[in-house]
Amino acid sequence: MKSPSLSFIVLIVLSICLIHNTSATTENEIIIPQYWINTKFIRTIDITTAVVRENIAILAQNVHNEPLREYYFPINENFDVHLSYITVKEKKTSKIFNIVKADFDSFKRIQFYKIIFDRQIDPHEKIVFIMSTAFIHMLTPYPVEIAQSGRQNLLFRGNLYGNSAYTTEQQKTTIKLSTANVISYTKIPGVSRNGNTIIYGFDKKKPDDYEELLVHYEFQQALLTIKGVRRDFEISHWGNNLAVEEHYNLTHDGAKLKGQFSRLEYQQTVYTHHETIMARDFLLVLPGHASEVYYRDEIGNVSTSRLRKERERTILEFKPRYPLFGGWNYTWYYGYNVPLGDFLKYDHQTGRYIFQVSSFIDPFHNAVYDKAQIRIILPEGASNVKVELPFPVNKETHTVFKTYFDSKGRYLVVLDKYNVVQEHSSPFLVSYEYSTLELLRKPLVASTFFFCGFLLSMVYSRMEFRIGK
Amino acid sequence: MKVLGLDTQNLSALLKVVILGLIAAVALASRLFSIIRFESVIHEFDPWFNYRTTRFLVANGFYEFWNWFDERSWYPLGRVVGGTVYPGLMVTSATIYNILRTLNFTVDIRNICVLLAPLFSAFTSVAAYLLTSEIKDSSAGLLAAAFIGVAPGYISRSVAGSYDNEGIAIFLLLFTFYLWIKALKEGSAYWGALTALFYFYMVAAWGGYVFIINLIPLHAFTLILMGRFSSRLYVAYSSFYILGTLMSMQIPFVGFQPTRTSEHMAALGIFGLIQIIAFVEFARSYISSNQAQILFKSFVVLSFVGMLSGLVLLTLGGYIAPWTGRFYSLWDTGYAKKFIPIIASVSEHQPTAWPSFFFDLEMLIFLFPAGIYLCFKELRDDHVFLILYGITASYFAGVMVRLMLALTPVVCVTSAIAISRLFDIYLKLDDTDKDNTSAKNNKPAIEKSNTSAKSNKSAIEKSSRKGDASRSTSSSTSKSSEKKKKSEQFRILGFDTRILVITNFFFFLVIFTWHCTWVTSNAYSSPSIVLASRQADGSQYIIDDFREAYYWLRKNTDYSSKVMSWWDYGYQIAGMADRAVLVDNNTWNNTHIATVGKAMSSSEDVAYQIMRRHDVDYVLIIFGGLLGYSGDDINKFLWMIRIAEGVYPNEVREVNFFTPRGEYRVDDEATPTMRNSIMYKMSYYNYNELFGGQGQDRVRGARIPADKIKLDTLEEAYTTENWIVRIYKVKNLDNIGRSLEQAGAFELGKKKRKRVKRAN
Repeated sequence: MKSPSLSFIVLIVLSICLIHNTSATTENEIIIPQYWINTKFIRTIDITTAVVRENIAILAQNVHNEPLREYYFPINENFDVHLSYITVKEKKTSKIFNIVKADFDSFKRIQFYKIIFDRQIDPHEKIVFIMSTAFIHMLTPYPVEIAQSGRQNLLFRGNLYGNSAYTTEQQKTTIKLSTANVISYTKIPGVSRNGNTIIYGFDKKKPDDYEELLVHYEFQQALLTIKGVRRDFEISHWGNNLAVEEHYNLTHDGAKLKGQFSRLEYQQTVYTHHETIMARDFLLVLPGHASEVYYRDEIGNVSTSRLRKERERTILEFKPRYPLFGGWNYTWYYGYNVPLGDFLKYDHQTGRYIFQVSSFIDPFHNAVYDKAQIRIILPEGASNVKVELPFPVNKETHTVFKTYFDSKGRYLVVLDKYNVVQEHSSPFLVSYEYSTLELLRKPLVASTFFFCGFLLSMVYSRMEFRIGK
Repeated sequence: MKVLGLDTQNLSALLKVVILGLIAAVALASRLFSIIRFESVIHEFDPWFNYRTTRFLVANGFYEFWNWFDERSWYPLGRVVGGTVYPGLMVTSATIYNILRTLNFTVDIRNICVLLAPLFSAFTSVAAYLLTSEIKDSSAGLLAAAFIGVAPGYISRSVAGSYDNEGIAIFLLLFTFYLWIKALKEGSAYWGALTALFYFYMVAAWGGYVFIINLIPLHAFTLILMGRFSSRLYVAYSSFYILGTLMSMQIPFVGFQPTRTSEHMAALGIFGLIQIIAFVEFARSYISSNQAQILFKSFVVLSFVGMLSGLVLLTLGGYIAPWTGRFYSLWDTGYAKKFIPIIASVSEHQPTAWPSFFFDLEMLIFLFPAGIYLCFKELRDDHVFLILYGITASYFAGVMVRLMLALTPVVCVTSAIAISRLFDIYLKLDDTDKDNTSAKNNKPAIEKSNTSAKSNKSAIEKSSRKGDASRSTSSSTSKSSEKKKKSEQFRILGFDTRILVITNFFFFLVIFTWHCTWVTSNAYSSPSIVLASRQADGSQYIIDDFREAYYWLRKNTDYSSKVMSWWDYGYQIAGMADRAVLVDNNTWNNTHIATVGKAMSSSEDVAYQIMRRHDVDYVLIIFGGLLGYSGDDINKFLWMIRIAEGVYPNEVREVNFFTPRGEYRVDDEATPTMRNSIMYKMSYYNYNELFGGQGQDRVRGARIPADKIKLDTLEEAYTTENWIVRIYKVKNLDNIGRSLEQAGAFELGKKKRKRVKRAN
């Protein structure tokens, strides 16, 4: 991923020598050459859900004397760890630009991203592009603890001025909220608020300008975090079946429950439960042909679930064993079987099977995912496996998995991704080659095993083990 | 006659295998009610501990398991699990698990544990077949297998999910007995060693092994008294005892008990006696005078008396531990109630009520004496064994409910002998006409039967389902065959009258099966950690409060939290909630349990001190008042008080919990001590408010006093949906050093003042 050009490295080294020649080079400060100017910088921060989605439309002008292709964008380190995705496209053509992680400035604790345009931008030429980012865990409840049926307020902290590596001439920031109940927000001249939107506008800002933006607003929804999800897809050609099992580890990250839980109050306020941030019942959409659905946790079956069949989909409604208040955790897993034909196609031209995973993650009640792991267990004997993903994942592992009296073991693909949000619920493909002869592997191994067993017993019964007669 | 190209002999062998296989399948299948109705889950209390230790064994290996010090139970004492557990059950499951894993079969350890007891029940029916075939014939064997397969007395301890020692122990018990009979018959050290091996397995699996180590010596002793000492007995007993004892001492929990406790002394004594007798017999074969015989006999008697007095002296001297309390309570049913309330407080240690014999064994209980009678009629060595087993087991079953389990196998075996004997007579179709038409024709038939009785071994193999009276094994002593002649001579029954008896017994057998299925499905298949009820529309509604609470504890409290509860729930909390507990179902430390009982029955101040000293974070109680669940802590409360009083007689008094009229009440008439106890307070905290007035306790049918219950040192942390489990958090000390009562009063006052201000 990292491939800074030689000139760039030289430049960095030179700049380090010039500015920090006194200090040792343990701190790696990066100076971005000021080749661009942001003529317009329009930010929209959407905090209507638990995910902070920031869209920035940038009108950038090349002020260098040479044509340029690269544009740097900084993200503060403590924001970067929560970064879920980042995409850039040109406004006019909707063309997606490549964006790669560049160097890390360990002095200012800033991570740089490098946008690579699809063409050279000539000196004085302008380009308009839109950058979309999403961050999770950026909203913190304040007050930290609320009563059982209390109202939850969130604090959003950010940079009042948009992050940029270049000088900005004109800037506008719009913040969208889910309610008009705003308790407080950073007030500066030129700010305006209209219901659930707050708009800031500035002139001329330097790259490093920073002032804290603080919005304190009501958010009467559960902040659900899935600490980890493991989704297993097991393909069986023998049974023409796809077995899916998903393990969830859920935490309610909202304002913590003040004191302890009172069942009395809970039962007396039954009619206002939906107004609290407590999470009590969930809903999952399963494929239409899903059968043998189960819902369990570490200590057994959970009986509080209902399955509803619709034409196109099956809906699993379930309640955890206990209602979830702020700070409470719950883990569970569920699984089902579907006919393999719904998800697997055979391509006669290439002779490959193509398996479609309908989505990387299931959208689950606006929850954010700290970690998602997808395990695709291909049948024993599958080979030449290719995974095509619409977005990069943190880790892709190919290994072997043995179950159900396997001899050689199944082909297992494991995909790990951190900071996953709804936008990642897109389908992806896994293709592999599988010879029909492989279907016979297990019966053959089993018969050989039994044959050997009988052979041994034949030999044994013909031997004499007695001492004397 | 050839069917399927097999001759009669092969056909009957095939039939036997098929029938036995089907019986095993039925034995397994009839135990799966709870899985089908509920789920594959571990039941009740003790199984949760076994399950937890099995998981530990699977995860950490045998060596770690052997040296496991569990610091999460009996806080702060801990428990040396490896040395205080019968590891047979866990090792069996772990072995199955590991074998399946090596074959790449990734089955969950929970499913192995759940299905282990049904699997071993299938083995038990095979063991019952072998034992009964050895004593009578294979048709009786098949009947015994079928009986033990479905008898509720055994099913009660071996349904799927009932992952307890008894599940595998009954198989081992029967199989050891079978091997013992075999060893005795053959007089072979090989079978004796096998007996010892399975005895070792039994020692590893269940404390009930003491029954074997006393019954087999008793059998040997009786045989000696009957003048039936033989080299077969000598070889079988000596090989069994030496190997068995040495092997049993390898189990850390047993250790040196075989040489140091009274329970094992009978076996040792008989071993010594048998050596002396063998020596005498040996010597007698060289000297043959009457005087010498008298000398030898008196030598035997003297040494027997000498050993006995030696034993008594050693016991008095403290070298041999006397009988433990649990064993005393077997002789004196009132003993436990007086001296060890903790044993008496367990419902399965109560004396058996007579209807439960019928409930658990149905018609077998009537056939049992008939079978014993038939054993007396033949009275070979193995029949003596069966009689002794029957008599001792029926005594124990009468004393303790749970020992019904040990009685069931012998009842099945003897009843099978009785029924098979009956069918031998009534299903003898081939010579019906002869019997009817002329008494003359009887003689040749009898002679024929005698010849076949001589070659009885081959006859056993040959005997098929057709059942032939003459084929029943007999040691061909003239006495018994004469008896048989008589019985056959009197058998002047027409076919039409026979069919009456046969239909009758067929009907009995059908009813028996029906009863067994009904009992299994209704009484013994509830996992007891979930309660099932019906909704208005008839659909099943599951009350899952226990797991709700345990899972809440598991997920939402600190991993190092300590939970105080009555000992019944210790294993479940450790297993399902994964939190440290103060006391659990391994009731090894009476004082510690009494301390918990004292905390529960004391006022808040006293209880708070106890709880702080034991680092208690949460207190868990069971309250059935809202739902009418009668097994709750208020109903168990008297036992807590009694056990606490046993250790702290000055601080806890049972009398104070009874009204002047001697009633145990929770309503307005409840005594002040009762109302001040934290158990009472925790049970009814916030309960009146739920009703908006006086709460109604549906278990005790009482109205709760109207005054508000105030808790200063505890706060409600979680209460389940139906209020069955209530968890309280022990408050921390006040920040500015007030007592929690003062702090609470202050808070209350402040709140009031605030409200007043607002109103203004």
